Amino acid sequence: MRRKALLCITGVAFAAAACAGDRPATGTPPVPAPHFVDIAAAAGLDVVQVSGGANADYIIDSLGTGGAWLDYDNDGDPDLYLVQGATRDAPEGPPDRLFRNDGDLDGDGVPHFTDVTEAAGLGDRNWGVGVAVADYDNDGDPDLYVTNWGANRLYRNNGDGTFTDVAAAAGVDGSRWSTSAAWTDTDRDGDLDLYVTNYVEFTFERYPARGELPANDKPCIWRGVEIFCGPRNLQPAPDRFYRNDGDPDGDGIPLFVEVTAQVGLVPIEPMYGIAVRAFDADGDGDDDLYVANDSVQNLFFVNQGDGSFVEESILAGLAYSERGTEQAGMGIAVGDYDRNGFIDLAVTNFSHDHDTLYRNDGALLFTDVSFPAGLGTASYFTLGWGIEFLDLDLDGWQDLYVCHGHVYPQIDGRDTGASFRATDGLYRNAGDGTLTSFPGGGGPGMSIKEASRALLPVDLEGDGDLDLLVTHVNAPPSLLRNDGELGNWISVGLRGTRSNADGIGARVYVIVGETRQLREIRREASYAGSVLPRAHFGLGDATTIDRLVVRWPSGAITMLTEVEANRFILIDEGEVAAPGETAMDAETLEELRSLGYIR
Amino acid sequence: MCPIIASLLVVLLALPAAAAGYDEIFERGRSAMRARNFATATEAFQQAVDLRPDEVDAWFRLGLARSANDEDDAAIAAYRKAAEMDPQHAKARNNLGNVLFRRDAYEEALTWYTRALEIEPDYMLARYHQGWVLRHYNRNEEAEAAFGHCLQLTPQSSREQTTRFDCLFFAGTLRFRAEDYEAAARLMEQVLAANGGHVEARYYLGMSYRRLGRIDEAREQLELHRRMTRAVRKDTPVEKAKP
Repeated sequence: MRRKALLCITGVAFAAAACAGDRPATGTPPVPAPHFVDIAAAAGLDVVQVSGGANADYIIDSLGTGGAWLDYDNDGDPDLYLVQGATRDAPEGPPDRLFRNDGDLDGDGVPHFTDVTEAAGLGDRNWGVGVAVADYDNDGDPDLYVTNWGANRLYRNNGDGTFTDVAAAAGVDGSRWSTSAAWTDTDRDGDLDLYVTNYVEFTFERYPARGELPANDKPCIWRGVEIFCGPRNLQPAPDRFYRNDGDPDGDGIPLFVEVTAQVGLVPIEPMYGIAVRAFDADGDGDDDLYVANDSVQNLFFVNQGDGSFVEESILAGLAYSERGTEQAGMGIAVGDYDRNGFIDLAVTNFSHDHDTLYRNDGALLFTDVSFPAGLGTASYFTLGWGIEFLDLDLDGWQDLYVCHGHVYPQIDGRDTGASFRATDGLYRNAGDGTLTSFPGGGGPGMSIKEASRALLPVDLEGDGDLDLLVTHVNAPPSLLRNDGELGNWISVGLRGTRSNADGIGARVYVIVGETRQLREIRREASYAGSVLPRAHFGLGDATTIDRLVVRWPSGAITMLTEVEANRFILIDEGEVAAPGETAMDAETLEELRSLGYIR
Repeated sequence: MCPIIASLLVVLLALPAAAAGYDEIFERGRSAMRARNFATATEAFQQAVDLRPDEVDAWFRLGLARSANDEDDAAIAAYRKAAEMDPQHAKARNNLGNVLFRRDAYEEALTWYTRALEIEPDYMLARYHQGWVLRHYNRNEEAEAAFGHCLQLTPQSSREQTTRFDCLFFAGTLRFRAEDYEAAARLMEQVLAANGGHVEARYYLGMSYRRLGRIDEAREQLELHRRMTRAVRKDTPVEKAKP
């Protein structure tokens, strides 16, 4: 295991002089491949995440729960928030948990996590699903938004290790069944707004349990198996979008205004929202939104530049599968997997369908390349949830990890080709548009069979490779430490001044020779969770980055040159040129423009 | 069970059949199939193969009846028996492929379609299914060849007429996958001329127009597709039954 590398840097001038990397030189490089080992129990993360009844008699038993990586105490290492659901018999569930990362105290290679829920003033007992982290008040520490069946929570980080729920006062508590949420500065005013996906207008009293005949006399059956009803034919709950208007009266309570319809974030009919991600689809500098809906079409809201939106999913090729069929969207991955300078999407779906890989061809036009890429056939029998483009072998190409797990426990032992608990999917990006397998299969962590839900990548030890936290239904999470012998890397964090504090929405470009990679700084994970706001790049054999370019949400641009690899760098917006000006040379600027990176 | 008792049971069970005669039982099975009484048909053809285990047609029809009765394992066994007994029985091989296809065992299904086509290259249904599975595995050139072959055949029945349009549709999807949007649009227009209610063809046509920059036409087709998708869904709100 490699020692942690950390570097803080502000501005262009100091980039080239950054401290040397600590990755030791090696002889013949090994074939890079991730090797995952589950260290959750050893790390103290052996808490069961309750998420509904074991028999899944109601649809509310199906979604599982998520979690979030955040550095709540600003000590430089990732802490963990785990969401807890409940059951019908015990609707006030166990409390959500906050685990403080105390580091690898005994040098055994495993960080230890301590439950600090009570001391932090947390412990929401509502039936939780997900959590979205952001520094919504730009005070330098991460706050939490917890999505529940019932009232949601907005926990303001008090900066002293404690939190205060301000959701009701801020007007974002909601009362529906919320699933995922995303923080995004859609109007580019420097603070983060909030999109919340809602699922079904559910109550136990309204809908029949599995085995009960509904009023329409149509039993709920899937492939000969009696199942819970829904979501189709249940009443959908509309999503909500809240504009952040800051703290106008300075009382510490933020003002959020629900402007869903006002800004055009209303679909043609209410849908079953599961996940949402912000990304700059057309590279025009503002955040667009993609919403995965269960059982019906997905939605793609294109930002018109002023924070208002037009829904363009169908014309963009993002509403349906290649064949124009409605799928059951669960999780959303965003990333430029083919390195063409545009952010692509991958969406997990139900079993006996396929996960969908949408290649972004530019000009707001996407192509479903699931089958040509190899994902379509490979994912046919699996029900996917969390999904991310991640460079797991650090070769410069983003691979794909997919959480699998069915929603019907009753299918076990039936001849459906699927099972309730399943191994997750791990795909190597071959660099030619296809997804293959890794040599070695990814290690023992890939043999875990659970009903997986959320996927939360993190560089746990700061050693440059990506580790994974995977949540499971009614089981403790897996913490998959990546022990592979991998390539070189760089990780970038931002500190915004004119932009929001974490630089959410910024684009980071890494250019090495002819190779160009793109990431966006985001907090939201693919489903029901959050990650640290980092742009993480694998660099293969390269030990120096020719140019590292940041396009901030404010429009400002930072360029660093000759950046050494194998380190984390924190870039401060305060040192860069004003919007419209740039510290980079005209040739570079034109090159980035011609590539569509900058407009 | 003691072999002697088992043999006796077989004889006793076969007695009424023997009394009725093989031909009569076989015809009873066929009548039951026509009447869509698959349980009775299964019973009759089982009696038929018990009476005459060397009759290929009895095994084949038992496969048909078992398959129609959703007894996939038994159907597979019956078709396999027919295929083993008659090396030239293309239909048994195709139908075996169909049962495996229905169970999502595509690779194995493809093997049996291919075997059926080795015997009867112009077997339209087998050719269509072969193309479908090849497309599923992204073996697009082979799939296009299969659908192309299918389109060269003259339909001999209404079912084959339908199959031909299916081949036309999937040939169009493969042109779309190959980014040949002109050809994809042309093929989808043909599908829709024959069947304006083909939801997926409507989508492909819309997306092909979109790719060709015919935006207004694309919008029109895609809106039609959206409405058709909504209609096909046949939403029936679920609520708990009142006590």
